[in-house]
Amino acid sequence: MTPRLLRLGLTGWRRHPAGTALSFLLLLVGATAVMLAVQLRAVALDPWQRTFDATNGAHLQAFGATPDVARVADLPGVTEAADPLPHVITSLVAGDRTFALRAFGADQPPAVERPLLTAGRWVGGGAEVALDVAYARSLGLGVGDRVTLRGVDGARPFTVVGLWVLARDEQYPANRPGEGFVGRADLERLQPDSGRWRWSESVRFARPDESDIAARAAFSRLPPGVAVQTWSGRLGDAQETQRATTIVLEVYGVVLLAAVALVLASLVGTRVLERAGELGLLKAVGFTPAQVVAVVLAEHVALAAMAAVAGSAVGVWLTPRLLADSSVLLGAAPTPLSPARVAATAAVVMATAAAAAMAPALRVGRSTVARSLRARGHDARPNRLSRRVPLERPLPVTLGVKQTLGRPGRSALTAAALTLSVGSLVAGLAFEATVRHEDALELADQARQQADARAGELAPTAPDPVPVSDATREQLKPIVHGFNGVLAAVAVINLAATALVSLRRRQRELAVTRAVGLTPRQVRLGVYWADGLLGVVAAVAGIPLGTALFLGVYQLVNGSTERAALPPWWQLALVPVVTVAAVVAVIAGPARAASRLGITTALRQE
Amino acid sequence: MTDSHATVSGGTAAPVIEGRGLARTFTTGGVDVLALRDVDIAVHPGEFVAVMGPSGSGKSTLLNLLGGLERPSAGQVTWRGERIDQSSETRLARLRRRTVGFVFQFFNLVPSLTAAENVELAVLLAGASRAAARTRAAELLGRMDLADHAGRSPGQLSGGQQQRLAVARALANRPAVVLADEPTGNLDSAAAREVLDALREGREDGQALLLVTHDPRVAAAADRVVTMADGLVSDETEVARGRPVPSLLSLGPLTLEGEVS
Repeated sequence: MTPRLLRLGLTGWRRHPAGTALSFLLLLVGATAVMLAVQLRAVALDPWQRTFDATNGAHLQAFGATPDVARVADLPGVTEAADPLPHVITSLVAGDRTFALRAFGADQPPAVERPLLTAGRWVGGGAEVALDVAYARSLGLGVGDRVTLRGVDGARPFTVVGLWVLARDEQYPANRPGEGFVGRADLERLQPDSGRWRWSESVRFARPDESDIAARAAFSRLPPGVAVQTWSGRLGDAQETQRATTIVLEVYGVVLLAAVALVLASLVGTRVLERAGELGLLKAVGFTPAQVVAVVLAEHVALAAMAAVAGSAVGVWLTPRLLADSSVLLGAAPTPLSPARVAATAAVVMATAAAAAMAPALRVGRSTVARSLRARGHDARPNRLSRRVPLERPLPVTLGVKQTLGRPGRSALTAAALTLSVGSLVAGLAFEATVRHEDALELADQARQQADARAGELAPTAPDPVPVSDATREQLKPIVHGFNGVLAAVAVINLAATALVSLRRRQRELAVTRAVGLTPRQVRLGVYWADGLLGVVAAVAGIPLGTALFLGVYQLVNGSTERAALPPWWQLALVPVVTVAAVVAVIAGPARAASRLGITTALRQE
Repeated sequence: MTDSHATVSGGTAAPVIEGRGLARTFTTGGVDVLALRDVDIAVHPGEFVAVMGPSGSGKSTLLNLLGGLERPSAGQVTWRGERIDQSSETRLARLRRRTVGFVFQFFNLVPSLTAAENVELAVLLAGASRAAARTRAAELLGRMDLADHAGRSPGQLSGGQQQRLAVARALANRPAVVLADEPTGNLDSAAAREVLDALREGREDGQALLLVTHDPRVAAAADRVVTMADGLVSDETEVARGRPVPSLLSLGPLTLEGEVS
């Protein structure tokens, strides 16, 4: 492509600033979505390993009732060992609720299996506690909050001074009890009898893959009652969680890309056809069809390149914010932006824009000069479908419906993109319903299986008043919510773009209907019905699509749909209402403006 | 007669549409342009008034003000004695349905509707039943020689056919007056003649017709010719049958049958 063709393509930006801004906005959201998917994938695919590395994770841990667990440090191949770490099981009182707590005593973070602080600081003075971030989040605690720990000689007030994360196989509340660090002196105050303490020892090997062999060797050297866990066992559990996340990311990524591609195809297609007259002029002065196609592609691909860079930045900025409420592992260690990811995002967005522009560009390129010069874009036209709708009162309804049916291709693209958004919303609702359902099942199990007879327990602890939540679900929540948010943004832009482009093209037609006798309100109602109908179609198709999508993913992740739940009927009943209300809310502004435009002003416009 | 403040009486019956002291100012690039200044005009039942004048003389602006499509900067517009220039857009829309029918130069049909539906739309808006709307549309399409094209989209019709369809739509509710802005300006001479015939013969209920045109042959068919220049009525002529139109002499001798002699 010569610089001249590129320049000609870029003049389209200046000549159509509103359309260009809309396309850019859509491409920006598309690029943000792609970058978000890429970043989340990078973050979610290896959160355990990154956290393990950041915390100098243990390849082997031994747990027992005596400091003898430290003998694992003598195993061959051990390169680094922490001091034996004592802990007691106590109760933490926050407000009027009581939770079990495994309180470790360490004045300094351990050298191995060293908690990574995500907020605050390590315990320093007396009566301070640093809590596992997952535990603190479940209890609604943060740095600076006051809690009470129950010792053998009574309750003591503590201040939460830090939050931390470790690469556990599962996080609280799946992994119980919750954990926290206090100073060694405070541990002694909670339980002065060190004979009732429990101990753990964490070591690292030069060759981590030998830790399983070492674990077998350790059994023969350790006193009875000592348990050993290797990093490979913990990684296996983490990978199970990771697999589910990968599946959800892949599915959502495809859905999102499809939605963006559909909206782009619709918007870019309309823009190119609207410019058919200008492009016809180029052909009239000697441009070949291939050069006309090149001009169109230049305009859109260059716009996509700019949007890709901006969208990448937004995606990178958004990722940690999206993960702020997510699984602790995902948010623990930041994932830096890599040039490869930006390049991948740009390639996807530019290819999508090029694909969307190609078909209408080829159509204009193949068209005769005279026909191109006459073209004014695609008006709705009577067809077999729209003729079946008789023109009768209420006229805004039938006019709106005929308008939608009279442009089947464009309506189908808009409806399909909306359907994907509604489907993802329904899948999100099903996900929430399943979380509630599984929580209820597990809370019931938990009540039946109260942990008892734990060595070192200071006071009888009631079951934590939070359900045992599955790590997979916790990790998926922010991803599902984040993608649903981006899909909703795509849907809003789609609607706004559709309404603006469609109304701009129909200004003359709307003015004619007003000249014939339609009131401004009737004109607005007609517009609402035209686009509201697409909302109804999207809602009707989106409910089964979303349900199938959720059940399919659930089946892939869990192997069966036995414990899956669907959204309650009232939520499903609200989906069409909310969809149509959202459609009307988005198009209300443009519709009002269109209905108020002076009739003669509109009639003068081509 | 040349008068910058011409009052066109045209007959003894009360006018169906009337403008008094009409002025319209447009602002272009921060500069006020006076498109129409202090024009009085009245059109009476059954009357055919042609408005002529060069481009930019204010013909179309006058038509738009009289039709309630634009609001005057000064002056007032009455339809059958009721002042409409201060009415709300909704009231104007409702009044338009039965009072005014429009024919535009560029047809301005609704592209998403068939030819028949374009006519039915106007009838339905006036409150008729669906059956009545279909009957009226069929009748008008027959009269305009478009019966075979009832199910076609406007885009499938020729320019002349589209304009005849626009005439049918304008006449659908038997309005008091038909306002036509250069209805033949975009047509070849044969099609123009067909449209003019449709406008003249279609007014079966004696509707008034106010028609803006550049074409002296079209104007020659009118009862009166109002000539405009620079936003003013520069000339107003009652046309007597069989005599040349004085203000059009410069365009060549015409007869009132519209034939160039």
